[in-house]
Amino acid sequence: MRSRRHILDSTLRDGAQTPGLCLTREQKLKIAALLDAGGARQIEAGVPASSRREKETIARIVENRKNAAISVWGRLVPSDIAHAIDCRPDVIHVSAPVSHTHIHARLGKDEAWVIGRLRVCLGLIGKSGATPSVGLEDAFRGEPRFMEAVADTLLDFGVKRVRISDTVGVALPGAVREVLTRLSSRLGDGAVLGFHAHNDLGMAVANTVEAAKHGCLYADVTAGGIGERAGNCDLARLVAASSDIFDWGMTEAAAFKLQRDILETLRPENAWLPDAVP
Amino acid sequence: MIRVTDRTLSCLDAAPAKAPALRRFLELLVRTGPDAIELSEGMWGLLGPLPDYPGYVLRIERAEDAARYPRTPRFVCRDAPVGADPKITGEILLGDMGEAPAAAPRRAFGRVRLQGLGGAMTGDYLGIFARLRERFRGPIEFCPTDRRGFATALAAEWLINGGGSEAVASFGGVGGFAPTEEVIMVLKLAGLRDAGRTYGFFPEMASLLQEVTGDPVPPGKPVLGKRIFHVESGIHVDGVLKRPECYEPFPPETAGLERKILLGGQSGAASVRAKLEELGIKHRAADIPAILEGVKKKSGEKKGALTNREFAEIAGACAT
Repeated sequence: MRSRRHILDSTLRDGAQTPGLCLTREQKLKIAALLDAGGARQIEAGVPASSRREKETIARIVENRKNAAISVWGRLVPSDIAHAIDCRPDVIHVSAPVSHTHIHARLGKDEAWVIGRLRVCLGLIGKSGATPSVGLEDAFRGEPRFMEAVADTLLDFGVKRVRISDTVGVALPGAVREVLTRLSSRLGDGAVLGFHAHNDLGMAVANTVEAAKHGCLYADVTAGGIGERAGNCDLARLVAASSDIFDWGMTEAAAFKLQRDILETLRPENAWLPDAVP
Repeated sequence: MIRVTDRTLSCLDAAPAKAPALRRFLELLVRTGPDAIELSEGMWGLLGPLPDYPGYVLRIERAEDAARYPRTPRFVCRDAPVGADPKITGEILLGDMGEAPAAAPRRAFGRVRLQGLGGAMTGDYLGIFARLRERFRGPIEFCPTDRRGFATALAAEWLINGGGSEAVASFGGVGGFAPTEEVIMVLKLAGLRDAGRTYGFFPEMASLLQEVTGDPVPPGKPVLGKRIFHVESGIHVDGVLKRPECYEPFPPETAGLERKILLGGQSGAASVRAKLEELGIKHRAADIPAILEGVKKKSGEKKGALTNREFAEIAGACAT
């Protein structure tokens, strides 16, 4: 019997960050409707803090949805969380960097700052009624002991939803197993894990399957695998590659049609986008 | 010691015989540094005399064909008896999950190539690897097929965590195998080979392969795609400008590519500052928000990234 796993589609968030891609509000609403009707369990609708127009669009997506949970993405910034709360999503995802490179070089902060900000942001989300979700950004270059400290903070706040992100696409399946095993052990049985792959070395689908084999309930995908650099895990390829062991809530044919319909929505202005692969 | 065989030139017999493009491709393939380069008999004839290189392998249809190439040191041949001739590697096709055909030898000590296992990622592939190493006791060249998009991961796991030491791949994944450039980059980033080596000629190889096969290289293809080091979103541009490895798995020049900051709907202030400096446009910090707003508005109107000229016009209009 196949195990149930869930599609978390990030076409409207990480996919929308594909350089050169510019989505109109109408395109975003249409894509969200396609995903909602097509079997995605969760739709990552965007980044509310990025603009007033983005917030309005996300609020419309929340209003329109019939089936899927709607999540939004924010940095470890209280104002990002405030903007997120305004959209009244089901899930607010906050991204917490866990690698030395991201904490020190990009943010110019330290690990104590990350933990402190995480506590502030989780406190805000907790008051909003939305489900908190925390992403461990750059987890495959992160310090294991610091990730454990972050995990302990999540336990303090009762956070169940945790996403492990291979931010620069350098993870091997063996590393996926190792990080997930360690994190699962720290977080305990109640944790609901997700995996966010990047395809820089051509392993996004394989790593996502490996994550799903090792307990990840949610798989982050985008239509056609669009996204920064070499992109993300390709929705249709993931479903096609692993439907013999996982029930993704959609058949291979349905995933292909959904992906094709989304890419067709984008294609008039973006002929360079990938084709949907049957 | 880890060994990688490239088999691109045994997968192109059905493509037009564009000898100049293929000769140049072979020259660059030698510079890529695989431990062996496999050619079909057709390519062997078309491209000869071959560039100086010690690791050529000739693919032959029947084991007895080896006699026609007395000076060739190594051959690979489908279903040739494993171990019967030390110069010939017998190739055995495995099923999706590593099932070996009943006729395949057990506990054979000769060199063997195992091709297949395209679906093994969905199962206990490390267990499969262990069983194959038990069954075939000589050197194993593992050539995973890419039917489900797992080939690079399977090759990497075989070499790094699976007890194997030899993998077979093809540039761009031509023929349906693990892309050589991905396998090489995985090993390089893992510190297992080619420290210090760069591949500035990969774009030319991709272009030559496209010329021969007629199949365009997708702009987002790992390692080869022309757009993989383009960056637009504010958070990514900010990170890359502070330290490129924040959002780049390897330096673009390693693969002959360039970082390019695009301005569009996802841009942030860091992108605007960087582009102003790149174009040598004098500005005041107070102008940045208005320029950024102008960039987003223009991107929304044209539904895409701005050209440098469009950006300069906006910056000029916003100057106070």
